[in-house]
Amino acid sequence: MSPDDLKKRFPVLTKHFKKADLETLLGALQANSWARGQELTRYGEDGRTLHLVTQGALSIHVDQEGEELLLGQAGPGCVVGELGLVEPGPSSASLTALEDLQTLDLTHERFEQLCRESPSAASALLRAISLELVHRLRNSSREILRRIDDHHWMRVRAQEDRKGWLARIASLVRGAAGGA
Amino acid sequence: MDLRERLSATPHFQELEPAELDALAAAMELIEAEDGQVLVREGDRGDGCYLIVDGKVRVSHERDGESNTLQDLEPGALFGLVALLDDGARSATCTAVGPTKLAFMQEAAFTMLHEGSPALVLHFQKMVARQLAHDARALNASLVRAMHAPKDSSDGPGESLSGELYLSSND
Repeated sequence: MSPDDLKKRFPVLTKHFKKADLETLLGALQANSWARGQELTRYGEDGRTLHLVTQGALSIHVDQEGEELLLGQAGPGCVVGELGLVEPGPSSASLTALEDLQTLDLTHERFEQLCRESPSAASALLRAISLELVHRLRNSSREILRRIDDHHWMRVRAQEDRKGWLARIASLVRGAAGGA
Repeated sequence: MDLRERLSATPHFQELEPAELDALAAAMELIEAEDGQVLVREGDRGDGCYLIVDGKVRVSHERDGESNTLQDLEPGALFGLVALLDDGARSATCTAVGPTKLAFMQEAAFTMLHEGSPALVLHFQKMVARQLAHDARALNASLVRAMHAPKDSSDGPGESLSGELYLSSND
């Protein structure tokens, strides 16, 4: 793949790159192929690789207590695994190839090497990743707020239900008393 | 102890050259906050970011007088980055827990730092990205917990909802 190709396919990730730095990044990326059904990463296991999807599709999901939650899908032009690249740790989701998949990968170790050999290329990459993380934080934050509001609303409704229940009991008691 | 000394004692900055530490210290201002002091308020415009030097800061969402803790941050952590990076409103409220010392960096200094020596820029970029990754993990964990939590109150009003949401609460 040429630097221009990389820029065209991943415009957001490469936005802050100078041409020479793009060449450096290309040199650090490793092409990988995954068969349908193959796992790139498993939820909770060590994650340390950034994947740039060039062909095919993968699913992003969380499996917990035997239940699967589908968080999303990623196809050509998508980038996944930012957290592990920046700060290796337990993966926050599983990634599974939905069909034959091709990716360009950057491991944390190669990224650290890039930091030493080409600080400007590493900086340009980090800048794009930070912005992507900010967008994701905003989305998660919004989702959490929505749940706080739902929860608050449910609690208000629950309190109203209980008041209604007490009123019904009271009227029953009054009715019973009236009948006696 | 002045700010530069404090910064050099922070693990984050130990790899920095003296000149780079000078540049960083010059870009920041030491602030002391009292217990309960609000440093960043959700919805406000971002004018800078903070580094915790000493003490603790609670990140929360406030709704109808109720506080939902997202996470507690320790010395070395940065906060106030989101609004600074995307020019949007503050995404959460950050409050000092106990007497807290902070290094505040104004937006202009933050931008200027990105034009410094490549080593300093990279170092700072890494710090920012790591902090955001840490925050994203904390929020992801909260969301996954929330998704696994019961979604409605069909099992009866009242007590089933009395639990503190399903967010990470560090209390």
